[in-house]
Amino acid sequence: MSEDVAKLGSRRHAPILPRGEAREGALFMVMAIICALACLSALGARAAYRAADNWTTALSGSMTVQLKTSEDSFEKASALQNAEDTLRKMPGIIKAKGIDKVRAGELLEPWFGKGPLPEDLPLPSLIELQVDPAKAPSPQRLEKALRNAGLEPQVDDHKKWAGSVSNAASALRLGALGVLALLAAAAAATVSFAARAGLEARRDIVEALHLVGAQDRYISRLFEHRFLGLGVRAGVTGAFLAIAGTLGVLFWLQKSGATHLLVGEIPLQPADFGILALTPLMAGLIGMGTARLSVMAALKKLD
Amino acid sequence: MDRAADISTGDEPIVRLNNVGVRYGRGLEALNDVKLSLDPGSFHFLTGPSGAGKSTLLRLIYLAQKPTRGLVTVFGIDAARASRRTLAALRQRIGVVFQDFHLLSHLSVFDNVALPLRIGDAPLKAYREDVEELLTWVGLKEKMDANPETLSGGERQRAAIARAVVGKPEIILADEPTGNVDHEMAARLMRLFVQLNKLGSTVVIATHDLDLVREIGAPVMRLERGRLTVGAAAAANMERQ
Repeated sequence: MSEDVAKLGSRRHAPILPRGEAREGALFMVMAIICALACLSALGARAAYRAADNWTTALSGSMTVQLKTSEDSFEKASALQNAEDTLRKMPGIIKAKGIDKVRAGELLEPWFGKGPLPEDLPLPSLIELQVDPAKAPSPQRLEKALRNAGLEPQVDDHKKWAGSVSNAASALRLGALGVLALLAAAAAATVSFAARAGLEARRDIVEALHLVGAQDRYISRLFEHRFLGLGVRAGVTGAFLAIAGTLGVLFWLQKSGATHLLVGEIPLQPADFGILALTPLMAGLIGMGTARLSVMAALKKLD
Repeated sequence: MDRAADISTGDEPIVRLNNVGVRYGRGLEALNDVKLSLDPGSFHFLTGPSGAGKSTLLRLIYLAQKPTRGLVTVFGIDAARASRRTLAALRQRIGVVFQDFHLLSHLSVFDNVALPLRIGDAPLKAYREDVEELLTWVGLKEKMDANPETLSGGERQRAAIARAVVGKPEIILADEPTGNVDHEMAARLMRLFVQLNKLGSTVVIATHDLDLVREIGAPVMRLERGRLTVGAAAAANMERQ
């Protein structure tokens, strides 16, 4: 029978474990905050992973060719034109465009500010390539073709960058999983402490139950149900706090103009709502399981 | 018969203690070489001065404590070897009235009395009438929804007795069950114990009330400084007190 209510006519049982004690409110707050942090950690890991995925996909669809040329502007322009023509004829190349001074100015804007670049600033002769990732020619093949055209090229397929981004994403994901594990352990430790404190504080109840012949599992179930409910409520609250936190970060990023890089990955996706929906269940199960282990262990020491 | 407290009538005893000693810490033994057999359906008084070990003996019988030495069997099961699960199951067959009542202050009188039935997962409707009838019998009909803290000492005692007997236990142990009630209520409660004994429960009542012992006329066990005597010797010791 449920601990709480067995109703018949006007008579119903009061819960054997009394509700509404002050420490339950504090414990609820701690659990809700832990759940919110766990949600944010999981959502952050997913956002980082999605960002890394998008970045590596973008990098795998592009290459950069650098030409060794003299500083003479006519020769530079001629070499760039020659390279563009050569590359455009190759299969797998979608677009080949030399980086002129205007485009270079855009790329160097974070360092030099808006406006024209200094005249005496030496700029490399670069060509941005957009390639079909499925049919992209190898860097060696591109270099060979350009050398045959009388040029001295160096081709960068960004694999090194993509690898670094992928490694960084893996590290982020591992870090987030580690944080999740730590938060789960913190939640379990908190519940364990609270369950033992509850058992000690309500020793009169435990003794009375014990003396009328209640099995340890019966006594344990009272605490399990209590902490299951508390975990689920804290999980729901934590999930809502995490949604509010995510929307708050998004709003702040958009307001501050930081609309590049991660911001595109932050909006919640269906799988993220799955994580949020799982949080109360996980919090409830952690609460229930920990309460069971703690109470059963404590009961064995009571005699 | 003196210290050999075998008051068995030949049936398999429901409770048996053999050379039982209980020592707390490094002090003297609270119980010393206690030997005792209780037959099913028997009725006994346990007397003795305060601190003689009566509560310890009752704790051994209701399996809340294990002896330091010796053998305790209840319902034929060795208490020292029984699992926690078995001990709990055995305790469900024993009703105990504690000196300090052990009533839960956040539950109503009804819920306190119904507790032994509630832990058996029986639905409320299966025992509601029994509990109400018992509470009426012990004079607490009007107080069944009250908080135990609002009751007088005598009322709490009656609630504790009702809780001990509500499950029709095979053994009923009562530690000073009439200590806080007037003579009329004491006689009424004793009639309840006698009635339950007639229905088959084994009853042991620890008491200082010698008038009550004489009135009922059941066999007496007497504890003095941890040693148990029974029968005529116990009665003689009791009268000398």
